[in-house]
Amino acid sequence: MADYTHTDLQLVGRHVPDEGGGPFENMNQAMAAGHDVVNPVTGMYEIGVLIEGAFVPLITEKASLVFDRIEIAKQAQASQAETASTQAAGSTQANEGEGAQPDTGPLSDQAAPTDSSQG
Amino acid sequence: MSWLTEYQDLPGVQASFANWNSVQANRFTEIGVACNAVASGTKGAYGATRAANADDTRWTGGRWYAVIGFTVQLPVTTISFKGPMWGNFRFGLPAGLPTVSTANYFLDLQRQYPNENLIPVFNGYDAGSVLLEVADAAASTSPKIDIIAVECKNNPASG
Repeated sequence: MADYTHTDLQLVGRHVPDEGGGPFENMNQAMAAGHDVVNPVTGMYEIGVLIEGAFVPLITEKASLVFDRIEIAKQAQASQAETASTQAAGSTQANEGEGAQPDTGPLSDQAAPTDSSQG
Repeated sequence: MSWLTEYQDLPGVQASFANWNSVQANRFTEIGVACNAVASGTKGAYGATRAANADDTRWTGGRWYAVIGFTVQLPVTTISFKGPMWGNFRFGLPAGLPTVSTANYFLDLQRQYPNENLIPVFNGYDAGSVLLEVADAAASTSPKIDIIAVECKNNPASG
């Protein structure tokens, strides 16, 4: 049996911005630090484990790439949720339509008694 | 992707490049100078230009500097130099990849083409006109560049 000292480690992630990476109050400060946007996403994103409270990094990735992916994932989820709700609304309308008389509009509803009395 | 193209003749431009033999003959010492140019907030675009003396002012006026390469702490798509001594045209290379040694890049290039003048040279007085730019697939990357140069007492590019 392996003599692991720690098991069930918690996987965590954290953003480690550059020292000179903002936040900046205005564009002049950002430019002085070399950036061309006021709020740049700088530094690295570290994914690691907590061992008795100590963070031990496993991999690092450029932070802006990670946050880009998060944003894309959020947009995809929102898009899927919107599509799902649209489909659900469509199927509900279809179900309601199966059990009811064909809706020919308010004018036809009003005209129907007149037609039957004539017949 | 980035690459370097050599123009044998660029009309109107008298670019300052030296041969390694000339650099060796005029060598005084070596120097590593930090320059914290960063990539643009727009992915793939060049970031703001940063002067070679913006973060480290140890360039000496009157001395000549032959840039043999640079080191980075983070891989980026391209790091480029430009300045009036090189006709204000960019030249540079991909940085931080395991397959590209940037610390001696221009020296290695010189070794491949020994008869060409491929080592960029500038005067310490002009360090403020030597501009570095970073382009990367990620936004606002800060590769933390250290320019590696040979300091010369005389202009190695003039010979």
